[in-house]
Order: sequence, then C-alpha cells, then structure tokens
Amino acid sequence: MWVSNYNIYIPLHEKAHYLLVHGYTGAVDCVDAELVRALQECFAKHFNASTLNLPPDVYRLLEKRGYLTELSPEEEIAFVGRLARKIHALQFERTEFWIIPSYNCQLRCKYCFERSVQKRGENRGWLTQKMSTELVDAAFAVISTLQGKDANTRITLYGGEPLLPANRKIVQYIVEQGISLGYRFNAFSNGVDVNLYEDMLGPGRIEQLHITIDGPQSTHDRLRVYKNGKGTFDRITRNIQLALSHEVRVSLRVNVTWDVLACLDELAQLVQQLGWDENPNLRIHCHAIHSNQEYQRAASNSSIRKLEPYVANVLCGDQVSCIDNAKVAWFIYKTGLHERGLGGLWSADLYMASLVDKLLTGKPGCALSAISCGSHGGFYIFDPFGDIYPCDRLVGNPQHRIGVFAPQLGWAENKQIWHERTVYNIPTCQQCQFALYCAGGCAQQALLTSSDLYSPYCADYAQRFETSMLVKYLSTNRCANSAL
Amino acid sequence: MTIQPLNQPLEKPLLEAVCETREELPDELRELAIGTEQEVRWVSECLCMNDG
Repeated sequence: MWVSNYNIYIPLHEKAHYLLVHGYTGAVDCVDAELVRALQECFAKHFNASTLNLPPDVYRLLEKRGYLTELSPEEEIAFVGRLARKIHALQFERTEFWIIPSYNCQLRCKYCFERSVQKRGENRGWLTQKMSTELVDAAFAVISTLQGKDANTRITLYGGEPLLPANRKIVQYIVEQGISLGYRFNAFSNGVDVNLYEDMLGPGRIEQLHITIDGPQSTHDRLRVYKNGKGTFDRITRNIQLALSHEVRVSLRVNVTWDVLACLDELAQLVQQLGWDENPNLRIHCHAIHSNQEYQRAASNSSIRKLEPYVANVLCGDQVSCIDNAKVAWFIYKTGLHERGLGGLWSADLYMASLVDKLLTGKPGCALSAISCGSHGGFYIFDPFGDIYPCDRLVGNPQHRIGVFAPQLGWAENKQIWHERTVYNIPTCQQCQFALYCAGGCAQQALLTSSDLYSPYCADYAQRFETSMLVKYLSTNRCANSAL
Repeated sequence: MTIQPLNQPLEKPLLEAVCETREELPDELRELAIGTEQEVRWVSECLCMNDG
C-alpha cells in the first residue's frame, strides 16, 4: 500500500488541521496536522504505507477514501491516464453550440478582449458583416450531425454583441429556426439594446441572458461605454428589469477591479432597491477582470485608502494592483460580506465555486474532467463567415478555426490538435494532484504565455482551489470556523 | 491521529467501472463521475454562466 500521488493538503488556521482532498476519488476530509506530516513524509521518502504505524480504523478509512492505494506510483499515474481517456469520451457527448450573428458591438469597453478582432474588422471593412439565412441553415444542419447524447438543448448567441439593433432580423431567423428544431436560447449580451428584442424574450425562446456590469454606476460608466465615451449603466439596468419581467433568467456578472470592489456597497444598495436580491430569476456574482487583459488594473489612491484596513491583512502585503479571483473570494469572506446575501452578489470565482460545491454538497460523486473546458470536447462556435471555432476567446482569428460549415462542412487539422489537448496528452500534468480538476488549464492562456497549446497553464489554480475550498468549508461549518 | 469524512467520494469499484467498462456507461454512473451540466458548467471558464 502506498500514499497516493493525488492527495491535496489544504492547511486550516494555524495549520493545526488540514482539509485533505483526493484528486480522483473526490474525497474531502478534515484531518489533524500529525496525520498530514506522516502521510507527506511517507510519500516523500517513497516508503510503503505499512510503515506509517496508523490506528487500524484510520488506515482503513484512508484506503477506502483513496489517500492510500495499492497501486505503485507508476501504476497510479497510468490508472489516472486511463480514467482521463474514459472521462474525455464522456465529455465529448456533452455538446454545446454557440452562434455569432456578427462581430460588431456598439460599445468600446476599456478592457475588451475582442477589441483587436474588431479593429481588424473595421480596417478591412467586415465588422458589420452579418450571418446570412443560408449560413444559419448550414449551421443548424451541422449542429444536427454533431449532437452528442448529453447535448445542451439551449443554443447560445454570442458576439460581438448578438442583440445589436442591426442584427434583429437575422437573430429572429435563428431563434425561429432553432425553436422549430426543438432548441431554446441563451445570449451573452451587453444588455444595451435588449428592449429591441422584447418579443423574443421568455421561456422557450431567449430564456437566459448573461449580462455584465462593472460595479455601480460610478465605476461602470467609466468602463462600459459607447464609442463616444457615454456610460451605459442606466440603460443596462432598465433592460435587466425588462428581461426579468418576461421571466428571463439573468446571470449577472460583476466585473471586479480593486476600484469596483471598493464601492460595491453602492451596487448592493441598488440590488436591494430593485428587489433583485429576492428575484429567483436573477443570479449575481463577482468575477475578477481577466489577467491577460491590457486594461490597467491598479487601484486608485481613494480605493486603496478605503480597502487598506482589509487589504493589509487579507492580502498579506501582496500588491494591490494584482487582482484575481482567489483574492476577491478571500477578501469577500474575510470582510464578512458573503453573509449579507444579496442574491449572491458577494460570491466570487463561480467556476471554482461550482466545483467545490459539487465536492462538498454531501451528495455522492465528483466532477472529474480530462479537459480544461469544452474547447477540447463538444463545444463548437459558428461565426458569420462560415467558420467554426473551439474557443470563445479566439473567435475571429482564422488561424485558430477548426473547420468551416459552409458551403459544406470541412474540418481543419486544428480540430484534432484542439480536441486532443487533454490532461493525458500533457505529460507534466499527469502527475499533478489537480490533474483531473484543472486538466491542463486554459489553452488560450497557454498560447498567450508560451505559444504552445500543449503546455500547461497552471497560473493560480492551486491557490483558487484552496481558497474556494476554505471559503466553502468555513462558511458552512460554523463549529470549525469558531473553533479555528 | 484523526480523520473526519466530509463527503461521499467515488469509491474504488465505481472508479474501476468508469475506467474499465467498454460498454456505454449508465447516466447515473456518468453523473457520479463528471457531475451534471447544471452542477458544473464546464464549457467555458472565462464566460462561466451561472446556471444554478
């Protein structure tokens, strides 16, 4: 019997206790530091687990939950490889389809990751090109051939801004065709012109909107602006109200910089005033501005002054300018904001939180993944030029397309390259204890940082995982919280 | 030395069934291994939708 290579040790307060998490059984246990030291030492020295001298009941429990294994280190890594291949096959059955009516957008947000694509479109005169009805028909024909057994029956409209005034006619065609084929719709929208699509909103049609705001009006209107620099807060909040009145589910993301975080109270008041905190159709969460964005993320002096009592303690001297989801989640927890409810406004790092929820909800099972996202599985994006893309961050860059869907379906060499970027094809990932949770990290970020799609992108994954586990555990386990 | 279980993991026979079976996995087993789409919306981390 051996100590598993896939044990994850997360220290609780003063390291007297740890959360012990297993990388492929999904086990989570609270253990004392003495046990952790014994396991870590045994693993580091390549000793057999029989040398651990543990109480029999503890030994049996460790084995049952996967922390001890009869597989040798080499056998265990090979087992994880086999497991990953099987999981990848399952994930391919979970297909998801997005359609881009056009790449155009009426806004010029300070940090938009699609700005370079749009500038190229402006210069070359194709930014306003819309999808034709022939392309829509071709996309649905291809979608019907790609449908997996575990397909999402909602198609997502994406952009640019899909719900532009100029897109109305083609969006109406997409929605009508989709409904006749049994689909419903989501849309990633900036929310500015949603009122022009009122007749398409509601259950069975466009039934979910993902809208982003950049904090309260004071910060939002500096960041989310029209071409002329005018803010959009009033218009977007009005349209959120309109969508909710049609029973549309609204997933509201609050993009967070330190400046936004410093004045979220202002937004909290509005959330209560509008009754959003009590509306079951509105979900709200914070998300740190993505790390690769050029937008300057440093906090202003006034924000630093406001956050200082927290920043100094919470961030342990870290630079204020470097914001990420783990810091936002920890900040919200340490300052007690998470206890204020407000429809989830004080929750952060939704992606990691959903994984941690799955591990700690008490229901059996896990959320293993062989791929970092759907880009390496059954996720296909159809654009207005007849191209198919694997990644929402790389649309509009033809060198990254994986195929074309018109005039007839044809796959590029890129398809295999993207679909085979799995945790079992990235050698350095196979031995990592986070292998079947992180699964290699974001491919687009790997391309940006190393120009190699098959290099791992670890970034702050371990820190985010640990922070989310701690926040979830401490928030739900009052006894442990007060004892620690 | 103490250990306090906090959840119900995938146990060895189940993992081996996922790993070794050549037949199509039943829905229940698939959901135990990779979660349901509602539980883990994995399609795109950067544009994670709150499907809750």
